[in-house]
Amino acid sequence: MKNKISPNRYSDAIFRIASEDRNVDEWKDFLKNLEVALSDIEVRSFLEGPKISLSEKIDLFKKAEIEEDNKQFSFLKMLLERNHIFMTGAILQKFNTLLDKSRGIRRAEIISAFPLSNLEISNINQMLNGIVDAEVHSQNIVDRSILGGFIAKFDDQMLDMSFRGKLNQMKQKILE
Amino acid sequence: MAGQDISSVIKKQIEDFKGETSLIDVGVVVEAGDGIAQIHGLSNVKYSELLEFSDGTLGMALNLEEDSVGAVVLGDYLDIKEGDEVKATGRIVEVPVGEALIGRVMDPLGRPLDGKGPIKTNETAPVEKPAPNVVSRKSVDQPVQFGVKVVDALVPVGRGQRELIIGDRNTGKTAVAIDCIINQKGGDLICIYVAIGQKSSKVASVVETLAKYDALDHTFIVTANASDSAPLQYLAPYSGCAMGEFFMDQGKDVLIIYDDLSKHAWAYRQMSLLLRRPAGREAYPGDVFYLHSRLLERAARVDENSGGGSITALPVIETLAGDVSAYVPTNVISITDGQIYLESDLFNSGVRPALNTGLSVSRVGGAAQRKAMKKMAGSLKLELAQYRELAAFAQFGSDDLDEVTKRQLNRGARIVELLKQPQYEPLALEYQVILLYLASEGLLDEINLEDITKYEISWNEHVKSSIPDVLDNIRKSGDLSEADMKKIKKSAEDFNKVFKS
Repeated sequence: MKNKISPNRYSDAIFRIASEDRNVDEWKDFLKNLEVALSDIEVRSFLEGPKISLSEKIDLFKKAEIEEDNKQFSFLKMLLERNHIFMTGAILQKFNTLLDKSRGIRRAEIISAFPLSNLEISNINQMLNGIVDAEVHSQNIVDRSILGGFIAKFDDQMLDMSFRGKLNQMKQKILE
Repeated sequence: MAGQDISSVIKKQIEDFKGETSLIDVGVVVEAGDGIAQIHGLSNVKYSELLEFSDGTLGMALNLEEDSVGAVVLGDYLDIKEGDEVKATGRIVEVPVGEALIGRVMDPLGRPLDGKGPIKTNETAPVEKPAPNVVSRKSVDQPVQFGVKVVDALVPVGRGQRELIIGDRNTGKTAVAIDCIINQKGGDLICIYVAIGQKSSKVASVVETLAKYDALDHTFIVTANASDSAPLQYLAPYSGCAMGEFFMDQGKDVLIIYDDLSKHAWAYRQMSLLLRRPAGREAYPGDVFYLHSRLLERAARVDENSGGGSITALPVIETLAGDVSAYVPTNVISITDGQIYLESDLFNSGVRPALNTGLSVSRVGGAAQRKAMKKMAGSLKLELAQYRELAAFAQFGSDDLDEVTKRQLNRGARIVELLKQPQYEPLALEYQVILLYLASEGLLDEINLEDITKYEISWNEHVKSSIPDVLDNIRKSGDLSEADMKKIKKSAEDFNKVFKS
């Protein structure tokens, strides 16, 4: 089995800390800012650079206006120490999922053949609310190849109500 | 069917069609190659659940990791790309089961390969199933007649037993198994031949042979050939067993041949290494023992409360240069209830079946052996053992030997000759018993060694016409009475006079 370190450990830990300290949104902003900063290729290559010493990297943050005794700063230091700073994006993503879950929200992508109106989306959301037993926030994506209807995609679950899917199902039934 | 009929059937199907709408688990292929796919997502998938790739190919989830799933592809994996969507089907790998399987040739997922149309069954069964537990089991009490003299006499196999057939390549392992299937013609035993990693041409010839000897009326074949993917080869014996269990649950007796488990272990080794599981001895993964033990444990004789059926398993193992101490052979030897050990030296010297009578054993089959055969087999084993020992000395020259030794050598040589048997010519129990009786009574001692085969053929013809009542008695009672012995002896003495002249 592959010996891979999963970003889930970090996101689980910081979500628990954030919930205890009741500053979940602060942590979210912090992770978001960190991700934005990392999207700059120079920052990224500096922070991930193997030839640059850890103290140099930490000094850079010290110069910025971050309190040193802050938990967020400690977290950052830990990521740098372990060379896991590249996981930031994944940690943020998982953190958001945990946050949504705690607030009873599920995010979905609604794939449709044509752009949907706001009313249609809110109707679909309402229907999905009942199915997944959570408040559904969705985003519309257009894909002509599904022919009609829509596909609602949650993280790793899917509700296929597209014409393409139905036609495929019918094909299978007839072949049987 | 006319064109109109077809279109009306399709129209009806379309009208009746009701799509299913439910949440399904999906994932995305992040890595694909060598028949293995790493899939991101699928967080609710179960071990050995069937997955469906976007091109319709099926897969099986094997490594359940934190945020990915390692799956093996059952079929062609060249069309699977990174980024493809994968759906969980919610079904554990299963195969169709039912009477319709009999006479067919299929792959490990129950898809027909013989071009005789779809296999119409109503039921399916999961491929992996726990073996019958201790309480529902019963000890072996009925024989499986191989129709092969040397096996039926020396290594009797009972219904529900697991008897290993082991030997180098080209020593007649498959031949013994096929003979056993052919001998079940007209009987109540359902036979399953599972071919794992065999050459397609060999499987084709087995199917042809079985058809030629009308054995397909009680037999079906599950095959994953050498050209099929390793996961299919891995599944084949479990599928075959699941199909057999359907019949066992109905109280029927099943004989299943796994040909062969060495290749099965190779296929599993390939899968495990590609799935990056840690490798152990001979690069097999840690659970290669469990791989075979859980399969062979499913062979059982169950008691009346559980249906009273049985599955007899004949696993085949191919050794390399007679090395039975390799990893897989030792494993399977320790799991099974005995082995039929075939040797290339014997095979090349013309002793066919090339069964090594010293190393072959059956640990439980004796309890199921018919009384008549048991009576004959006891003295036979002793004679053969003595013969082997003396023959080793006698090869330095037999001129100075005493009369007793000479007689024993003479007798032994005739028994060895008598136990030879051509392929595809199984012999019924009653004929076997009578022949062995002749040998043990020394009635063959006067016959020239090279005439034994000829003698056997004409004797069997003679028996049919001269003492049919004895044949009947043995067949019905399974025993050989004193009176019948006398009749046989008398008849043989008469026959010998005619035969020698």
